[in-house]
Amino acid sequence: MLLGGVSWGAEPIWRVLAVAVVAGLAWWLGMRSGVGRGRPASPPVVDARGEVQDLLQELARVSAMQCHSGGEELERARGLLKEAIDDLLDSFGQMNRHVRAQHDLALAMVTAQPGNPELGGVNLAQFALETSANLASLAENTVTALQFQDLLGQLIGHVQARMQALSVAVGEAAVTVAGAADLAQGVIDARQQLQSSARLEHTRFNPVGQMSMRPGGIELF
Amino acid sequence: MGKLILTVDDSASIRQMVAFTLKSAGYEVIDAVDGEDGLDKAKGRTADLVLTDQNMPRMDGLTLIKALRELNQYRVTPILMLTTESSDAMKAAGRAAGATGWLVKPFDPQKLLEVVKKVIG
Repeated sequence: MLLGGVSWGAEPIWRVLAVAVVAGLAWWLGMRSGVGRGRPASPPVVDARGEVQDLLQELARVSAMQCHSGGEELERARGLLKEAIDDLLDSFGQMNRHVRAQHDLALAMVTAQPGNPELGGVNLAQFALETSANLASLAENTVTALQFQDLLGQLIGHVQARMQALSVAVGEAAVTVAGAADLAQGVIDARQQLQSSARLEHTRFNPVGQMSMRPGGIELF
Repeated sequence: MGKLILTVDDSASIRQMVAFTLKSAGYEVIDAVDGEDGLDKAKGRTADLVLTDQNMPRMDGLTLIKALRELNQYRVTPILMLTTESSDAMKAAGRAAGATGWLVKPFDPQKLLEVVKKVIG
């Protein structure tokens, strides 16, 4: 539901996105230079074609990488959420069974002979200890599962950062090309901008490497 | 009153789960929403243990640890990192900053209590 039913892990999604970005830029460059409107290419445009192709390849590479990584991260978020919800549902089910058993035992005690330490066949001390231990165990399981919000929040935040970095980098590249007096040089500058984008580089490392909701390791220095 | 533990995390659910776990074992808990808030609260009341996340807005965990280690009252106080980060490089950075230990999320309540008991009793 969180992902709107879209399978972000599927490769065609990022391929379509990458193609859309590249096609959009190609159209814009074509409009700008007159290529595609039936006019013969002037010498500067011919010079720029190779650079434009390189830029488009770089755009495709960057877009595909960001979309693919983002898709994998969302897929991981979906898996963590499913595992956490399964654990919580399991705890809920166990709690429900314990409450019912407790109810039956309490009923047996009420109907038993007064003064008997094992009312209705139930030892009071043992009953209290078992109930307490069961509930404590369920609470612990719940504590671990409920940490999913933190992990998912970080994963989704990282995907947002990826998309934002991609959007900014492509926008900056377009501005560089649009503002260049020499189209070929502008395209080269834009490609270099993309290759050295600090924003894109920053999103390469994801701080959440967890693949499951199992408790993490502990190390004392 | 039990020993005082300062927990620092920008996730409200983690703060709640950590506080729930520690309070159930008799510890007193104060919490902070990021490193800056944690530093302010640490100066206000000296904690027996600091448990901090790494990735937080305004000030991250490593910066907080370095700032705490510069304060006289936190030179030897145990400081545990509780984070999603699990790389050796980050752990080494934590150790260099002055962290006492490294716990990777999600945490197991019993294991957390064992570690806390080990470092502050």
